[in-house]
Amino acid sequence: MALNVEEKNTDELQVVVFELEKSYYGVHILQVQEIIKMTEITKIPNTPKFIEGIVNLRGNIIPVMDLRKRFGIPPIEVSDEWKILILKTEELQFGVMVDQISEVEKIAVNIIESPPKIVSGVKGEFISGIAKTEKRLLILLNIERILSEEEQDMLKII
Amino acid sequence: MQDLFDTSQFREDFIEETVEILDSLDKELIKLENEPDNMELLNSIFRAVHTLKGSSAFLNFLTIKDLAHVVESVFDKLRNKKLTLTSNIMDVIFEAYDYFKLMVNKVIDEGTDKMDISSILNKLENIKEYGDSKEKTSKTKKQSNKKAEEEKVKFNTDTEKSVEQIIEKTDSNEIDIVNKENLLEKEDDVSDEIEEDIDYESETLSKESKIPNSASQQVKGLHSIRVDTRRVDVLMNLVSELVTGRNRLIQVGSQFKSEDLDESLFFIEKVVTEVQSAVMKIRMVPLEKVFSRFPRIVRDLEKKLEKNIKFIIEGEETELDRVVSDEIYDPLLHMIRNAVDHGVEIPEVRKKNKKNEQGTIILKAKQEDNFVYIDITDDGKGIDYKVIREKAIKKGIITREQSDNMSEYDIINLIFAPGFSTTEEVTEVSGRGVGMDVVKSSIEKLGGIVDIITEYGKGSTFRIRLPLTLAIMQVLIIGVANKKYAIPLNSVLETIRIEKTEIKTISGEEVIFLREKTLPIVYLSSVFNIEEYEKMDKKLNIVVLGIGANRVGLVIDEMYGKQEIVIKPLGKYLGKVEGITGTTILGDGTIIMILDSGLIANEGKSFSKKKNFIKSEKTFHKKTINVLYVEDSTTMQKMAKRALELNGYRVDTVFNGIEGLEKIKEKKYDLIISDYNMPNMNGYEFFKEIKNNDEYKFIPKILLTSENIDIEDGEWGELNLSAYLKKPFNEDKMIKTIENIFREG
Repeated sequence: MALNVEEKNTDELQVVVFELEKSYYGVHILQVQEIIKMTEITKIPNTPKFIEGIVNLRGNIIPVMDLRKRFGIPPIEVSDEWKILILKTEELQFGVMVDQISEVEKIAVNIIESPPKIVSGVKGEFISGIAKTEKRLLILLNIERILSEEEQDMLKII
Repeated sequence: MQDLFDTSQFREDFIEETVEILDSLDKELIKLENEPDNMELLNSIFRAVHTLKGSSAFLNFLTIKDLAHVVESVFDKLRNKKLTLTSNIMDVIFEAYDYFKLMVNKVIDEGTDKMDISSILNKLENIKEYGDSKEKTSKTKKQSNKKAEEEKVKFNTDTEKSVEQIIEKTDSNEIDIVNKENLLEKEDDVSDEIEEDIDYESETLSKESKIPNSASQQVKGLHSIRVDTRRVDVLMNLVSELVTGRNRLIQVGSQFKSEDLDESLFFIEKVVTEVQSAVMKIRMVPLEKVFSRFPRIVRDLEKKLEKNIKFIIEGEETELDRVVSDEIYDPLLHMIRNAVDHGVEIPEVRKKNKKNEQGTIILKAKQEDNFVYIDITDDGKGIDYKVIREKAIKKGIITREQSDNMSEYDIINLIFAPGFSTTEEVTEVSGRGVGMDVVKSSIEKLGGIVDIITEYGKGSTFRIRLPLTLAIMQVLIIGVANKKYAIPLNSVLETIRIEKTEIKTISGEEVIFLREKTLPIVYLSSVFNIEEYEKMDKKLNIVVLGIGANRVGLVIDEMYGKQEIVIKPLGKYLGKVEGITGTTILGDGTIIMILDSGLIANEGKSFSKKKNFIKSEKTFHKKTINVLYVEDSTTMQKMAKRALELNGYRVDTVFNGIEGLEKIKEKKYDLIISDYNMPNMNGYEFFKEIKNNDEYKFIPKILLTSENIDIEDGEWGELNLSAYLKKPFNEDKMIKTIENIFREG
């Protein structure tokens, strides 16, 4: 849903494609603030498991999420090869750890299909759509959803 | 007129100006009450009301104008000695003042000043025509009392609201909250604007004359500028970055041995420090703004409660960070009301107790080092710790046994416990559903502490200690399990080094004796779910933390020293994380967490209701102990499992000895607890099997039985039991027994 908002008048949307556990995911380019190299992540106690910790981004404290844990994919050891994708919503910034950033891809809006219940083990609620491009199957993520669910989880642990 | 041009801009200005006028009127009226013949004062008040009349007429706020007109004419008569000021007239003037306030609030909220002011107009007209005639005034008095009552009710709900707001607002340490507050509370526009004196001469001038008269205030006005608080906040944030950068620079610089570099670094450091304190000064406002609101409140309360109180304010020129200053009003209000309501006795009682009939309440502020101390002292009845103790027991805050081990001081501090309120009946004045616990937590959220000094029969002092600023903090950097943390220095009492053997266990709690007093020991792992290593060193480093009356010793690995840091909030996304008040970035770019010393100090509180919970987590610093619990009753199994798990043990349960023997092959256990009476294989047979197995024979064993047995003798002796527990099941006894086994081992 979040992906459609600003694209009403165009037929294409640009997504940043990243790789996680051999699947390809897309995030709307306007939701990506920047991409940084894997850096030291400071763990924060008393937070949900999928919060890997916080990083120092030019003096700002940015929380970082382990998407594997968020999606229920068995976590693996953090690798220096990974990247941190800094995402932003209207209200906040946060980072997600991804295996690899591929490229920015333009996809036609009309090839986006509504999400099935489960894709590659990821719950449908985090997905805003599926796009079959010439190159691959792309899972488009619903960033707000990943976050808002998270708030509920936060409440649970408190 | 309103239709001719856009008045909204003027309205903002009008509100700002009017609030300012009313603030100074408040002060002047109080002063006038004591000096009814002060011509200068009368003139000044007359001018203020006149200004109010003019500006309200200009913006078509005719109700305000009408009232101002009558008040103005009353003051005109007063200053021309055609009228004598009596206490009854004063009451009416105060009532009129209240109406002004109500109407201005209405303008802020609804954009109109329309309200029924006929009764106050009548009273004022009467005064204007006939002065203070007894017959009329008795009637007036009644009405004004009623009015005052209504006022109070409104006021109370307001306070409650704002206390809630404080809690909400202070939940996070973000400074930009103030901006939100700006939008919410236009009423305080004045205090949200900071006046900075450019002309230092005029500053000292106004400081010298304690209550600045209007003339000097006008002079002051010429030399100050108004700055939007948001701009100051931006500046403050930038300075924060500068401080972080400076720290980083010093760290990098220390690697090069260059005299030139050192010199320029020294220069930079000096300048940054000065910029920092200069910006901080902009944020500082004198407490006068907060304090000046109290005389009126005390006056009203004292009349209402028929008490005779002298209210003294000292040190109102003391300056404090604006955020702290804004937030401290409600807690202070609460404590001052308490002092009037519960502290000072009524004149008859005071006379009987051979005290001066007039009670005294002193509100005093002073700055010492990086702290501001505010004392609220009354010479009233003081606090009887026995009364507090009974109430606390009655309300279930402590048990009688717990109270036996508590000092008078500890007991008196129970008034800060949630759910405690000293008065039986909820009075209109002090009992508003918010208790001292809210006061305490509000103050603690500002990084302050509150303490009570009281002597029964003689009076009490509530002492608040506040940091000068919230943005920059002195911390002690420590290390636990190879990670650095920061502890706010204002909560650190001392650091000590002790022998490990000095730690004693008293009723399940680890303590040390420090200068003949017990000090509970806590581990960081009891607050955070982190792995802590068993300390190999024979000596332990301990940071003694003190928040209010709570003292605890936090065991740490390393001590890195003091540092001035800039607080970085965790941000909206993570919100408030328990145990952490914020983070900071060190000079080398690493992030460390600032520990919530209040929470840690509470962990060590021996009478805490969370006792079991805390104790449980405390044991996490030991290595995990796996327990096999063998018992045929499901209920018993559940109870024991829960109790053990709460205390940090991992527990598996099985129903009898045979199953137990199966289970023990699957997993390594550190302790086996077994019931005696079980189907298929009883506890005796089960333990005998275990004892005869070379692999398992060293596992400690505890037998549960309803008999008295001697574990060192006879057939029981053969089992080599570590202990036995007599039924019925006793949780505490079980935990203690287990702790003893592992301590010895």
